[in-house]
Amino acid sequence: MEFILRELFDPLVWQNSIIGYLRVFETGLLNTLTISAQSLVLAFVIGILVGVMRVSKGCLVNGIARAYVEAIRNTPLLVQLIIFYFGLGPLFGNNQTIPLVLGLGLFTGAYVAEIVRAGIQSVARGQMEAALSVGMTNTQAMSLIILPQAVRRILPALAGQFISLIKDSSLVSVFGFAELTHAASRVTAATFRALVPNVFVAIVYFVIAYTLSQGVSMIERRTARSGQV
Amino acid sequence: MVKCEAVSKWFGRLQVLQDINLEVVAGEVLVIIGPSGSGKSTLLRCINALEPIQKGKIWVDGESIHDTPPNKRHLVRRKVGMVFQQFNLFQNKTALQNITISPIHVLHLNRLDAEEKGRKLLEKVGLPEKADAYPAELSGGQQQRVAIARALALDPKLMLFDEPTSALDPEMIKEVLDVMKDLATTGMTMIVVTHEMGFAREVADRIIFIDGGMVIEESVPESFFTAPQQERTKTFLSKIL
Ligand SMILES: Nc1ncnc2c1ncn2[C@@H]1O[C@H](COP(=O)(O)OP(=O)(O)O)[C@@H](O)[C@H]1O
Ligand SMILES: [Mg+2]
Repeated sequence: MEFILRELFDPLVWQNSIIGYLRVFETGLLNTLTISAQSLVLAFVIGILVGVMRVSKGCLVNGIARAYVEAIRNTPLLVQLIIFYFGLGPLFGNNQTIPLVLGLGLFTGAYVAEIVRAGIQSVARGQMEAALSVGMTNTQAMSLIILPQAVRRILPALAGQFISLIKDSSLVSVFGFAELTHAASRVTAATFRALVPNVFVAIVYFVIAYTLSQGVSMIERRTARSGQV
Repeated sequence: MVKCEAVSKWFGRLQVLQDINLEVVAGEVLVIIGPSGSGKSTLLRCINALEPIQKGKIWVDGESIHDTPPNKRHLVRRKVGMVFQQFNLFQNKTALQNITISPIHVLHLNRLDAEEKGRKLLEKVGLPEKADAYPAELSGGQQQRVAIARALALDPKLMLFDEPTSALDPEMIKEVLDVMKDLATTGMTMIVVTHEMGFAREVADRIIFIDGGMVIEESVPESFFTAPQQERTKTFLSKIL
């Protein structure tokens, strides 16, 4: 125990395994942010699309959406990523990023879809009827009235999901993708010290996640009046 | 303007409308009264094709709305304004935007023209200063007046009112009824579901009483209140008058 504390607060260890490898961590952080952002965009598009499908009255459309959501939510992310990376990898030539972004995006998209569905259903039926009664088409009612309100309501849940995505993206280090967690592994391998580099990386994740959640709280407060982002 | 011919509707196995025949001519104000759960809202919602019917036909301005394919129904709905018991203003839009959103996106009016018209409508319902307020910042009576202005923004040929004052505090009922009276004097065709008997007496051209999804009695206001023919109407009137 004492030995662990000593290592954790030893300036020399920090000098050797963090300061000395700042470039590696920097690249890792950049890659983490990039792959998370790309997956986030994909997840958002899929989530809205599938969420809308989930509230549709068409059985087939609804069934397909439901099958996707259930398949994703009831299998481990790592297994999904392995399927995408090794199983479907050849489809994408030797591009390492695409299958991983697809895997993370489809995974998060399923959760976003359920959040979107709940959000749409929470915007009262009256809003839909009012929109139809002033001559809007279903699509116009969705895009002008229902979704803007649904998105505002689900903002906290969405933010939580996206923060999870950033943390989940650490799994792609398994495939040698040079993101933040992978940076820590590399430094560990080079210095034979696992504690400090990984604690450091954990702090970086925490700062990102915490900043994001505070940012979302701020947006929530600023949009309270209109109920729309 | 509106014609219902042997309209029946079921929710699952529950029949909520039975063989409704009804005609409303242009410029007429028809008041519908009846106990809660008798199918009044459902009838209005069927006239606007917000609910499907299982039997019969409904014509609105010469078009059989339930025979119109679903992707064309919004075109018929543009001729019909609807005012709801719970106002149902778009919560994410200001009062003015509530009124202009449909002219802009549905009729493709340009924004400035739509806003000018929207402000005129707000003036008409007595709320010119509330253009930039969100629904949550308005009282119930104010919300309902904005909702009437919103419905009028498409220049509808027919206005449907579903208990427009039932969710209001007593002191706000008059301001909404006054707007509706004004509207009636301009010759708007109106179907009004209400329990405001004073309003019915004063404004209605005709009153129908609905119970159990059937039209029980139909007459002009004086005879409706002074000499109802049916037992069920008498019982109902004795309870509410
Ligand atoms: N969406 C629905 N699904 C099932 N039953 C409904 C639905 N809407 C209304 N009903 C039923 O239909 C009947 C008539 O309702 P409604 O038209 O709202 O009556 P009113 O407006 O006269 O109070 C009631 O018994 C009600 O419970
Ligand atoms: Mg009703």
